[in-house]
Amino acid sequence: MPHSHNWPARRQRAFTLIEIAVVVMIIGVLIALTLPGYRRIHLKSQATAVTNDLRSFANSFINYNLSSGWPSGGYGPGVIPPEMTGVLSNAFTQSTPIGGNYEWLVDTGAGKAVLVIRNVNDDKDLLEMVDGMIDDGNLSTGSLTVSGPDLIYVIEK
Amino acid sequence: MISPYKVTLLQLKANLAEAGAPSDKIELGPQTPEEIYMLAGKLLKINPTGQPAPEPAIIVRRGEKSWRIAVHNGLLRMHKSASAFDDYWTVHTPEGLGELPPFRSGNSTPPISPKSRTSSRPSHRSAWRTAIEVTALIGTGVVLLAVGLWYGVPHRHLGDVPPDVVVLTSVDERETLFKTVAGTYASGKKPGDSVIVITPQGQMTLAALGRNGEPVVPLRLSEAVQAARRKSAACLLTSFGVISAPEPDALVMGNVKLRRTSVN
Repeated sequence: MPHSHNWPARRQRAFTLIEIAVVVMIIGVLIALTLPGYRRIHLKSQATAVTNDLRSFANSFINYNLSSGWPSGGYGPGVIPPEMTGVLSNAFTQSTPIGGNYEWLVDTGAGKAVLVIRNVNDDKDLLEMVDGMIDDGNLSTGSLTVSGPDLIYVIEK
Repeated sequence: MISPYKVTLLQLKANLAEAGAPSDKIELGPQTPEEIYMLAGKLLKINPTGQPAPEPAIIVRRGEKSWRIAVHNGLLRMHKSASAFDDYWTVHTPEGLGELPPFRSGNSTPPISPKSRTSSRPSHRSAWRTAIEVTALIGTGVVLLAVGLWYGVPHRHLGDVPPDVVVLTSVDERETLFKTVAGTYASGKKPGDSVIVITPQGQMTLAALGRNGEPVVPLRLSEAVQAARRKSAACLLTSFGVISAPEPDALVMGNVKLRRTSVN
């Protein structure tokens, strides 16, 4: 008489392929959901920080200009013009939140009064976000433009 | 010769004509395999499924090991231990128990009966299905990882080549272009103005004028550039983007124009 067996389920001693696949899938879902969001948040925080810096520095230079004219420029990246010592925050001498260093220039080919970030981060999304916060969002037009590896913020044309 | 199998009846009457009380436990002592098959046949007839737990069962002991024979849904179950919660084999007939570990010597793995060979086709299909599921899950996971990484890392750079720029591959054209644009260019004469020096070999140096009018030392950037054309205008591809040469004595970097100069 025919008969059959149903083999007993084996006790689990290791991860099965299905379990590993599910873990890979879950990691994939988590990364797909979180990484772009994290990048957006990170870019936004960097852009906001550098925008605040640029506005704050620009205000300081404009205020000085109202009383004494534009401070002298061309001292190099990260150097506060002597006239602005004690007026500008020390953030001017440090790396910017988007890489590179701030520099103050006057009467240059780019404009009469210019804040430059020398050797800025090469991330175009980030730079466009900064441009969108300060200017028109286009890196080749308006008061915030890219020139080579520099980000130029023209305060007075 | 005494049979090595000792049998205990749980929740069964001694003649196995009907289920006993939950506390019933009868030691039958040594039994031959054939006697055990007969007991299992009787248990099958009782079909005690639905009895309050623990269900009636036959415990078979051989040395230190024990097995539990019970009935579920009209089929005999041989549990791998005396516990009703342990793994089990299912057989259709009491004689089928003879192929299971308690009654088989040597290899403890039961042979596959002819019927189970035919019934192995579904499990083969199931293996294929599992393989497809695993592949699909891993594939989906990898695709999601790639999507996450693609949107999670920067992929647009200042140095990306614009679509309207064509890189020159001909050596002659490259040399001609580099010789044409070679020289020193400056965006002005004030400190901080940009200075670009291009050699006839295609090496570009980027600097800024210092307070004494000389390029700032150390120079900011020095790299080999690629010769290219945008429409009919010559241009140079750098790590930070395109420097175009719309006129013989001028370069345009971003929206800053640099004119040929004698500064060195």
